Amino acid sequence: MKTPWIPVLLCLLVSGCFVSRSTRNPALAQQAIADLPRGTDAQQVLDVLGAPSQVVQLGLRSAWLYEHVNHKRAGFTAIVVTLLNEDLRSDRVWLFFDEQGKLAHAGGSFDADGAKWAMPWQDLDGN
Amino acid sequence: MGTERGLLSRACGLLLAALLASGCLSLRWRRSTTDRPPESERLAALVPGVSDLDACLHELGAPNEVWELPGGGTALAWAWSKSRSLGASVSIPLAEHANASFDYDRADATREAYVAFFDRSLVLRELRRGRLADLRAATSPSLPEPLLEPDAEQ
Repeated sequence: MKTPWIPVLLCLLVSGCFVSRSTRNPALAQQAIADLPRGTDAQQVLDVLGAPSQVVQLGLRSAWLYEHVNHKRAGFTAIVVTLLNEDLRSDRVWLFFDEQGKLAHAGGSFDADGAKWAMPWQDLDGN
Repeated sequence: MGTERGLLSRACGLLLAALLASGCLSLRWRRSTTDRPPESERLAALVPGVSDLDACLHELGAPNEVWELPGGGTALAWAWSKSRSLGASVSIPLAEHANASFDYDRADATREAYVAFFDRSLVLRELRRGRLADLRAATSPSLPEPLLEPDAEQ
């Protein structure tokens, strides 16, 4: 008696379930960035890393951003209820050039792989 | 046996009601998370007047935004956001050409940030927490007045 209801209920419940992933820019080459020595010319950086995502002018100095974004979505629709979770994390590298266009400072964060598919009530950071 | 049957018929009734209402009633629960806040131990390691740009980049990693400050300083922002929204909408056809609908959404979306302000020598002067848009608007150089077109008649 119970058996026919189970597949029917399952079909109804999972009918609106999806996961998706979108990215912006290719993943950053961490080693190539780590190998860039201070004093590297801006042109050499361009040759190694390609064009940055953003350039900010800081007076006579400048800062370049290289960014890779990982965006994960998970959704679930059961008849009248819709649950949606989005998690966006990124890899970022900022390179700061001095007045002569030489690399003076660099900082990187590599968290894009930490983006998760989850439901809205789930803990994303495992705390 | 009778209780089981009663339960089953109630469950079927509920399911049928939900199916029938699915075209006019919807409930939403949405969460959106972007990046994460910096760890407090790492923030505590930064000392205004002492820490420089390298120290900040080492402790906090790459910022989300960088902009120039009036007077030649530089601001770096580490931003994150976490929003949750609960929503419901009801739509009822009242007559052939009339629909009544009600939409309710409650969301508390904010993009917060820690912003580090550096002087011209790239020494940390201040570390502030707040809404990124507000901090940025308050500290970005104001745009110059647009150049006036010379009046042709003068």
